[in-house]
Amino acid sequence: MEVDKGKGEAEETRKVAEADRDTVTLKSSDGKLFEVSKEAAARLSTVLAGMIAGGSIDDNGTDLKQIGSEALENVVDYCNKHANSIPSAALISSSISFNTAPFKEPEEWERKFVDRLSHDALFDLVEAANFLGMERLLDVTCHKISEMMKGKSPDQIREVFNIKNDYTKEELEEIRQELAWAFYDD
Amino acid sequence: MDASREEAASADVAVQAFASRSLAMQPHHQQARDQTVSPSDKKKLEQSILPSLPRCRAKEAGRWPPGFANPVETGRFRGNRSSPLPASGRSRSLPPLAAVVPSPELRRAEGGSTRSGPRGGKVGNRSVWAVSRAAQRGAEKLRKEKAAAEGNYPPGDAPYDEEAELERALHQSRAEEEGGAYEHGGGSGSRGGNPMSRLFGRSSSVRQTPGVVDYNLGSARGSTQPRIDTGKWTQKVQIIRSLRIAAPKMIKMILVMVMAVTGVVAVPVKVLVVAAVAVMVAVPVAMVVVAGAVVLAGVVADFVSQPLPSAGGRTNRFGFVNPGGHPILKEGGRAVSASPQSIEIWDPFRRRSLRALMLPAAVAVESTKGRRKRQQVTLASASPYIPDDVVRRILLRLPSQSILRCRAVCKAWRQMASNHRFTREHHSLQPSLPLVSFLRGATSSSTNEEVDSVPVDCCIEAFDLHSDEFRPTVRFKDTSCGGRFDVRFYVCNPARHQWTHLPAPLPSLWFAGFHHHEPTGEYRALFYRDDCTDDQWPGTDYYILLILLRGHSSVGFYPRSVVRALHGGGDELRRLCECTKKGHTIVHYESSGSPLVPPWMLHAAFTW
Repeated sequence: MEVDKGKGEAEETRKVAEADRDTVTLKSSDGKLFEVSKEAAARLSTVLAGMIAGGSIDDNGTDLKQIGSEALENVVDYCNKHANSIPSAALISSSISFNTAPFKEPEEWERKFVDRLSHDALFDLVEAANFLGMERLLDVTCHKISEMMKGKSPDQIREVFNIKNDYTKEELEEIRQELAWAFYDD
Repeated sequence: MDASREEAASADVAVQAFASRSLAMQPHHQQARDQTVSPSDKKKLEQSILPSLPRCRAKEAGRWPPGFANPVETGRFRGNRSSPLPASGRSRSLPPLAAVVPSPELRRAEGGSTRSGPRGGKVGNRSVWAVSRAAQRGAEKLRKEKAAAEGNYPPGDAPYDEEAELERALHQSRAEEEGGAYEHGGGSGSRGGNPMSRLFGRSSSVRQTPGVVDYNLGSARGSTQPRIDTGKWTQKVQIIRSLRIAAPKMIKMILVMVMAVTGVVAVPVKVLVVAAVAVMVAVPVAMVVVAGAVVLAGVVADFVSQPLPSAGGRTNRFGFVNPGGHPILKEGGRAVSASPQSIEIWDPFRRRSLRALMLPAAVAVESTKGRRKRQQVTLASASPYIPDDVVRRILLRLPSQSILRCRAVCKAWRQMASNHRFTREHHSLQPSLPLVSFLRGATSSSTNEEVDSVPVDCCIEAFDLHSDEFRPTVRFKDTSCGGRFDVRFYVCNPARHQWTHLPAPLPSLWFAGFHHHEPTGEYRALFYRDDCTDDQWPGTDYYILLILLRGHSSVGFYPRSVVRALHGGGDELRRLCECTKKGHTIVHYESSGSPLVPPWMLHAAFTW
């Protein structure tokens, strides 16, 4: 399987492509095309699974207008790595356990996968995963973001999330007093 | 009949004597009774108690919280329907002054034999006996407590006040309980009439306290629909009569006319009439047909002009979702399917697709023009980039301290993180920690000898295997002095490592533990007092302390499982009183029967 015409990814993706020629072509918002194996897409993304089952996959590239090329690349990358990292038998059981235990710790390769991402890429990936209904990827990315938030002050969090502070000074002071230990007791 | 009447009549005298004696002996008691009589106090009491007993106070069963089976109703207390009090020999209620006391029983009760006594006998005799014994015991208890309070406890001390307050509330509750009986049923000593009717009067008459009427709107005087009259009754009758007379005449006239038309009038005229009728019918029919055709044409044209979504073959004519497989929808000229959480519906009339988000809380329908717009639609939009459900996911993964800090980020986050559902979900998602209890000194790394020494200041600690540290949970501090028993309890918030004093309902209570109250999701503290030293009422009293998260004056009840356990064991549990103090509602329960052993925790539930 080839990942994006311009960016031939790794050798292992080809191996998968040989085993399973059935691929799905996805088109990002800026028109770039990505291919991902149908099996991985259907398993990891509820939305893509629905599209495949409904026969609404376009051979020329299914339009995903919500997702930028960088995020889609990461999504496809994740799908491929996921397909390669775990044997298929374990995958089925683990995909079941995702539903029952949503807080399963990310595995080592997943950790590395999200660690190399920049802030913006991570947030884009969260959005893409949310849009495509990729539970596991959403879990991994949310875990990463929550780890980033730990020990941060509200100001820092606001900066990261680009949130406007809608509290008045008095309200903020009130909250601080209410939760004094949460702010100063580290 | 005559025998019981005589007995009751003779007992009347005894009662009056007894009542006057007990009143003279118990000014405190009298005071409590006076309090109930005064309307302001009564109102206050109702305010504190009534919210817990909505609408059910009209019946006797109303004294029992929903979780309880009323022993009177369930037949636990057999016979003696005339008395609302349980006729069990261990009733602790204070007697009404109307108690009818046969003199031999009175002597017996005075002799101190409170536990043994004739259980059978006539109905009247039984009730009389039970009530008198209860009266005697109540008086004894009061005297004893008063003596204890005056003798042993230094006056003006806070714990003493606490007890006094609770006792007063207890009396108030008791008196109030019986106050209704005085006014409406029971037959007081001063009241005349048939003694038998007095005996059975309470059960036959509807026992209602004055306050009850407000709470019983449904049954008492149901709102009846006012009758709608269009005219006078006589007018109507006249009209009907005239119609009855006129109708046959009119029918006759019509018959005559028809016969005339058919028989007398010539045939061409008949044809004309038929044609005219036909035309009159045909015109409206034609109009209706034309209008229908226009409407149909409009609809068809709409469909023709608007090509159906070019989705996969499973979309039906209206572009709705195929029922069997995944939803297939249209967006941007191309079919797009939706996740199971959301369904898109193509609306051919408005010529756009709608997305129905199937959220667990609510179903929202919104346009899918883009996420910017979607976020504007969402009410509590927290972050401009990340959808709220994703923010929720992120926050759920945070430790509690960080969540609290995140409340200061913005209002939407605070709303999200303060939600009761959110906190409960967060709690349930935390890894369960294996906790091992240790009894250790609270102040320092003290050894066992120090723990044993007096005064006691130790805490139960739990060892968290994950973080390899001790987590204190409950702390006991013995502040006993001068022979007075007073152990203070503290609970620890493990996240904050802060101690909070657990206000004990009464001094000399032991803390049994916390239990989770399923319906409210609260944790409640259970106290107990072993009264083995008390000859009057051997047994164990249990007290539940409700620390309420919301509001200040809601009342909780004993958990059902506990009640069931108690009832299963042949013991009875009565709610004696409840009072609200500093936002905590204290419900006092009395258990009768064999002395209960303190409960222990098994699988996070109390077990006896």
